[in-house]
Parts: sequence; structure tokens; C-alpha cells
Amino acid sequence: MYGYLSTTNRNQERVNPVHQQLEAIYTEHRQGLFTVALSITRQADRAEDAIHDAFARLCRASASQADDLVAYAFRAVRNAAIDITRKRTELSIDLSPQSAALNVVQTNSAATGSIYASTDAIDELAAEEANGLIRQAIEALPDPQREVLIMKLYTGLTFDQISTALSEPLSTVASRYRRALDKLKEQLASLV
Amino acid sequence: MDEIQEQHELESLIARQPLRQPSAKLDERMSSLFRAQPSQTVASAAPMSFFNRPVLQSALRVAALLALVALIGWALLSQLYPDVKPDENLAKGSRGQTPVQTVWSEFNPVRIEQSWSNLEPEGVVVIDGDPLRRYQRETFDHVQLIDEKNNIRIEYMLPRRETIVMPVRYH
Repeated sequence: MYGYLSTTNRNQERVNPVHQQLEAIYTEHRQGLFTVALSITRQADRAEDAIHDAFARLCRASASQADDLVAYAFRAVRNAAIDITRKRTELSIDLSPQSAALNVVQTNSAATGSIYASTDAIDELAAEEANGLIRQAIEALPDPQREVLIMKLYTGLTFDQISTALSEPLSTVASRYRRALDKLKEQLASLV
Repeated sequence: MDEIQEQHELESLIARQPLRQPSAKLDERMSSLFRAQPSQTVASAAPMSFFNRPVLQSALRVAALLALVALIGWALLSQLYPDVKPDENLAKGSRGQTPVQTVWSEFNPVRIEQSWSNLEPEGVVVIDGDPLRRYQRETFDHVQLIDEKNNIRIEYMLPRRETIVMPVRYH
């Protein structure tokens, strides 16, 4: 009996390697994951819920069979963010993300749901104005293009990983990114 | 060349935008998630041995608990009744007489049975449209069990009353 109990304890002390991998991925990509989730949910608490839900599912599923666990984690977080946004938008019309998404020039980013941080210093007003223009231009992009752009520039994922995360062909992802940059170049010609 | 440089500048301009940080609360939640999961799922991820099955674990725990309770109970009873052994307790009567098993093993009586019977006809009755002849039989069984060796004599009388019906035969 005693031997049996001690065997059980030894089993419980063993750490699941998949969970270790997931924790490492979260630690390394927490900012990127949060940015992707926030760009969909437009609310920080919902974005955090999405990340938590997605990783809980990944832990339960022990998703070791995925070829690229990083891309798989981003995909899970994106799907969870879409699910949360869909469910809660159905519940409350007032929480429409579109209304908050376009107010990126405002400094209170927490209120607007922007993925960007606000700068309060008066000295940085000019920089803030330029940043506002950039954010506005990004927000004006079509959703698929903006999604690819955010994933490429703010998460450090490769096109291959973005392709996996979005479940889209690599060529589609690359062309969306190209078009997004072309549009931004037109709109931000004065800044570049 | 200029175009590529422009693209790099644009990318770096966009990438330089300060991003909102996730809260420390999320880190706490995630940490507790990663810490909580192993104890729940490692067993299922690892190949499950026979002794790791949850049902068997529960059964073994219950069995161990019952064994412990029985041991404590036996210890308590031994403390309360140190002179009486359990088998003696079962065999002896309430007054500590000779064990019952001993009596029955030595009781070897002679059995005498006597029966008296009386049959009285009560005529013909009709039940469910069929004519039946009815009789009343009274029986007395007298049984004696006599064990001369042990000087034991048991005697009982068993009266019985039966109603018998027989179909009437037509010729």
C-alpha cells in the first residue's frame, strides 16, 4: 500500500513536457499573443480571457502532435478571441468592437480597445500625433490585411507560422501583407 | 533598392509603436494554469498502468480505510473484553452454559411418529359450474424424540384440518 502511494506521488511530480513547452511559448510570446487577441476582441480583459482559454484547451488536449506549437498556440488564441468576441457581441450590442476600433487617435487606449499604449507626456505630442496617424492607417486596413500585418510586425512570426495560425495559404498571407504595406505607404508617405 | 529601403523603414516605423502590455493578473492566471494542469493530466498523458486507474485507486483507498476501521475496532474490543475470545463468545449462551454445538452433536434421539386421521364426507358442492365431492379431513401428528442416554424427551402434537374436493365421476 505504501509503495503504491509513493509511486503515485512520483507520477504526479513528473512535469508534462507539452505543458512545459506551452509555458515557454507563453513566456516568450505573451506580448504578441496579447496583441493578436486584443486586435480581435478590442478589450483587454477579453483578450486575456482568450489567451487563458486557448492555453487551457491546449493543455487539456496535450497538443504535442502539432508540427509548430508556436503557430498552433497563436491559432488557438486567435480562435478563442473570435469566439469570445462573437459570443459577447451577441449578448450585448453596446459592446460592438468596430465603434471602439477607429478611435485610435484618442490617448486613452484602454477605453478605445486599441492595441497600442498611450503616451501622456506633453513633450511627446508630436510623436503621439504621428503615432496616431499610423494607428489610424492600420485600423483602416481591411481585417484580413491588418491581421497579417499585426502578426508579422508585432509577434515575430514567420510567414509560414502566420499561414498556419490563420489557416490560409502562404501565398495569400504574403499577398495580404504586401497589399497592406502598399496602402500604408500611400497614407503615410509624409512620415516615411 | 529604394523601394526595399522604404519598406524596411515603414516596417520599422510600425513595429516601433508602443504596444499595450498584458496585465500581471494574466501572468498569475497562466502560471496557475500551468501549475495546476500536470497533476490532473500527466497521469492521462503517461501510459496508464493497472494501479493508476482512478476506479481502482478509489477502491483500494476504501478497502484500506475499512481494514483500518476493522483493526481499530478489534483493538478496542480486545481492550474491553480481554478474557473472552471471539469464538467462545459466539458458542456460549447468554448464561455461559455448555456450548450449544456440543449438545447437538451428542443429541441422538429415537424418533416416534404417530398419526390419527378422520375423513368426513360433506356432500357434493358446485364450484365454477363443476360438481365436486367435498371431504373434511382432520389429522393429529404425534412426534416423540427420546434420547435415553442424555435423558432428553421432546414431544409435540400437530393438529391439521384439510378440505379435499374431488370431481364427481359420471357413468
